[in-house]
Amino acid sequence: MGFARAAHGWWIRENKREDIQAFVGKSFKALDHAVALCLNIESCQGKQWLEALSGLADVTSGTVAAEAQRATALALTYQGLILSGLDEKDAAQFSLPFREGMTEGNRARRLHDVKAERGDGHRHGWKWSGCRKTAEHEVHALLLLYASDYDDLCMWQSQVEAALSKRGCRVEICVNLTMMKTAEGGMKEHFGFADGISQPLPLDDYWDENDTRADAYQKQGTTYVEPAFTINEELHLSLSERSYNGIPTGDVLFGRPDSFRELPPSPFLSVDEDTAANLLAHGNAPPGFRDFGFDGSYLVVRQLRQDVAGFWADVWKNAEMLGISADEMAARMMGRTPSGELLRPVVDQQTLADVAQSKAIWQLAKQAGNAILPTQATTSEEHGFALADPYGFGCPLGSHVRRANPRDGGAKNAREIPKRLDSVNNHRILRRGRPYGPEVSGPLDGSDSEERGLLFMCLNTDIARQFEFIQETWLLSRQFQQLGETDPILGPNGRYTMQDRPIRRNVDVQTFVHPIGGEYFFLPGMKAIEYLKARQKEES
Amino acid sequence: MDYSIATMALEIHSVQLPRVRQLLDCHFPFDGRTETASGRYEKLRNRIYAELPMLHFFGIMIFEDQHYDPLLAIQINVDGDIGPFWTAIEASFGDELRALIRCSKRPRNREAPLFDTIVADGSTTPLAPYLSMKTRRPVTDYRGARRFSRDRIVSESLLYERVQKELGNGIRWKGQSARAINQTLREKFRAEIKTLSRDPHPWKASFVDWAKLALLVLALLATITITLGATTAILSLILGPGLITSCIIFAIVTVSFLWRKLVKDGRPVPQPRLRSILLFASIGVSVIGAWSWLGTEILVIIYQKLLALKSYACIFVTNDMIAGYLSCLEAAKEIRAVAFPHILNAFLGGLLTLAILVIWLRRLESTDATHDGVKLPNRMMKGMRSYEDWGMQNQMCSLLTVKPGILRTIILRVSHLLLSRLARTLYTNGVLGSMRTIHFAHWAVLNRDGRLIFFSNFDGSWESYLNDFTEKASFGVNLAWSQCLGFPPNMYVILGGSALGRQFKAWARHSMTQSCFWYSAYPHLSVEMIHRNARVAAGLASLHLEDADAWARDL
Repeated sequence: MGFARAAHGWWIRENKREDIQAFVGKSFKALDHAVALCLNIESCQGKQWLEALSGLADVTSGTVAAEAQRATALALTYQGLILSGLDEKDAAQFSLPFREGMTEGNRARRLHDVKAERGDGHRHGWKWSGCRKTAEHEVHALLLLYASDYDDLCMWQSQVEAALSKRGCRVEICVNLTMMKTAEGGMKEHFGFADGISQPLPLDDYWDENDTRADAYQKQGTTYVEPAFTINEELHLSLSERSYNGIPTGDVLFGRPDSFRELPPSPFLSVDEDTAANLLAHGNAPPGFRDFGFDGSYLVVRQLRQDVAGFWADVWKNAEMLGISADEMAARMMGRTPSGELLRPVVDQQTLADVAQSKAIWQLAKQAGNAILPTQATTSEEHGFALADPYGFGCPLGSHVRRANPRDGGAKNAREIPKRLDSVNNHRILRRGRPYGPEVSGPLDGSDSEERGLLFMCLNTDIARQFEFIQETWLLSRQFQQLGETDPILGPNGRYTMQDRPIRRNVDVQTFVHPIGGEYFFLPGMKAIEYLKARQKEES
Repeated sequence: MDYSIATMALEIHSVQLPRVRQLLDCHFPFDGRTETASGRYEKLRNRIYAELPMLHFFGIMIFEDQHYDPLLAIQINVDGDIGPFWTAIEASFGDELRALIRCSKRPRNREAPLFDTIVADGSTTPLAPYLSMKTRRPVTDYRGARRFSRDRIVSESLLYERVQKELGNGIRWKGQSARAINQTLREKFRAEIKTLSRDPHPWKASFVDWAKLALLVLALLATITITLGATTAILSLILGPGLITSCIIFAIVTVSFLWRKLVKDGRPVPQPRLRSILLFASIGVSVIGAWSWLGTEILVIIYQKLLALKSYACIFVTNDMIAGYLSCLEAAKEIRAVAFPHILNAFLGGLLTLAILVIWLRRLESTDATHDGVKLPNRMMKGMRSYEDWGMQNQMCSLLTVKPGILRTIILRVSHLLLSRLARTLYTNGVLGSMRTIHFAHWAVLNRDGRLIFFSNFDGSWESYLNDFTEKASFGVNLAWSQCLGFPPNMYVILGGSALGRQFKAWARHSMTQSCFWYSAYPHLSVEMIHRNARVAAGLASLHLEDADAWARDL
């Protein structure tokens, strides 16, 4: 658990953080209160709307002091970047998913946001997106305000809104983010489960062509120490060579090589055409050009409405049918206990004896601590499924956490484990989401009219390979693990199988999580924001 | 023949393209929805399913190209041979196919007379011979579920569904042993199990397949060393082995020192790691050493046999068997002493020539124009995307021009020979570098190595399929595609290329076209599911279930 928390801290050296938004490295856990303002800036032309934030809500840079009481993050859609001063031909250098947006017809179908409909139809019930054709409100920018004090946040928010409206900027949607904590102090979502636990760990610094991931990691000299992962030296040395959740920094931050050792396409601006471009970093741009995307990242935002009463009623019904407690039923769907421990199989004496004979599994079991004991759960984020839970008797193969991050689960033998892990880690995302709406208090009587849910936010640099891949190939694919079903939490109504002995049990689950808004944003680096401000000044 | 994969390609008159599209729209309606199909497509699907029982996957594509006339390509994946399929499809869709052939260009070779009789007014000449003539066999093919006929796949899937229904939510079986559950189900489905067509032996690489791979490798080595080393061997015979050996060794050392300058590497491609260089080098040295030794020994044995024959002949004359045998041994020693230097020279010469070929290739590779920032017209991209990801399965079809030059053609052919052999030996049981998502895939060459066509029917999204290529099968993909125009920068054929995920995806997307029609006999099944259904069925059918628990886990 200590390790998992460390992953929320910074992984970029202090002297290189200055131009990166603090949001990239921190989830501002100390700042309990937050609000997400979805802005429409189409009537801001010539009014320098970004200046409205100056002095009032300056975007927080990575060098911010740990005890700061307020923090701000800013992200813009493709249209938002163009409206804010980025030239259209430069913006066209961004990757296709970002340019098209989350609600483009075929994409929305692949993300299961529309059901088998062709064309850019109106998303049923979508409140906002980057395109008016697909939702009620068109949003161009996302402004996130975090504060430690609620009253302070309210006051600050009204000041910011007033300043923005002066410059023609409309607040289309305002999402009040809450912070709910588990008994252990971790973050919790409305269904009552710990959230944001399994995070990838970006390995610091620029990728050197000759470095392995492990080398790059050792060079950094950060303050926290990664626990050694040595299960079975002779079988899979490569696991100990690298970090279990390690990903190249380029997977969450522009300008560095990513998992495929490539650079995410980023707009290169010519200094000859545009003097303001001098404000930008050189980054990876050729001489005479500047790198607009450098130190930025794509921010995927989805507003997911949760029907808590409905969910638990459904869980109760299914639990009763199977003769188990509702908590266990829900945990089996999630793959974790509410406090965030990963489910593990209960092991009988015979298996224990078998395992004792096999060195590899025995050592892993020891590493995992309680994996073999019938406590059924583990807190470590450092080991996979292939050896400890290959058949899903503990954490079901189709459970939410196992779909969202299959780790080494698909490995068919011990030699395949490191390969599997490598390939799975090519698709990780850095999550930054928070719940919104009031916390559920007291028993629900089945009618939950309150608007609440999760504002899912994640950072990645290749939307197609990371966010969309997870959504499409892992969470919502019926081909996943040959189950023929989809995610029990996010997927459409359908069957949900829990592996068991002698045979599996299954139930019919319904969906109580509905997306009601979302878009792909770009979270620019500090220099890119300065550049946009300069461009707006020129224009006016 | 368990199954056949093939491509039938017809060149279309550009002016007839609208007519062809109209014909396809009219007779082969398709909107991408294979699983949730309705209306005309569903009707047609059912008809194909009933009338063409050998057919697994079938697709019709039109490739439009700036440099060539449009190409109508049909991919066929069937049980058994292709011939009977053409006869069967002619019986069902003869008129439609004849209309399509009428829009195609008249061949300019021996196929022309047959073409003329087929397209003649009111002609009733059978189409099958012509279609067979136009059919191209793949240079490399791959199948994820070998030896599974369509009927077997479908009937096992139906059995699995019935078993699932019987098991219900699983509660009432609690406390029973897996073996007892197996027994109960076996009783229940006795009738169905009997009708299952069973193949007791899962497909495994046979001795013949391995032998063919070994033979291919030997033949390649022999070609390189003997034909390419022949010059040096002759020179060595004329000028004496010592001089030639020292010359070649000097040349090899020079080449290896000047390697970096000679290959002119101007592109940032990932450099091979020292470990893999050493691995390849050691394999090369040991193989060439062994081959060289083998060559000498073969020569010695031949000579010994000849001498032995001669000495047997002598037996009757002189009765001096021992002397004959001794002279035989002496002669062998002599041969070794005389022949070995020449043979070694031949191999060293081969090595040098190979190095020069590699440098040549590397220079070509480093100056090849690559298509890094491929941008498709929005309409094309949307068109393709709108036909994808409607169900579990997807298809990919691409047509590419092969880079010009003799070396490229040779490499293309050799790579595919190697790849097709590897697909039958190492990548058996449907697992291609730990991925098991491909139902049928094949590469075929058109226009005498001028163009390379690729068809694949796979599980999951296109994005994840291409990711698998990059992550797990980049070696094979480079072998298959690296000789095509615009391929991402690669090195020594197998490095780089498809390992550059983003570029490779963009390039591959560019080579594709929207499918006009696609048929899958079992759109709701993935390769893994087919294998699982087979395991469940086998567990019910076999009398001695070894691991009942493992069987029950598949339920």
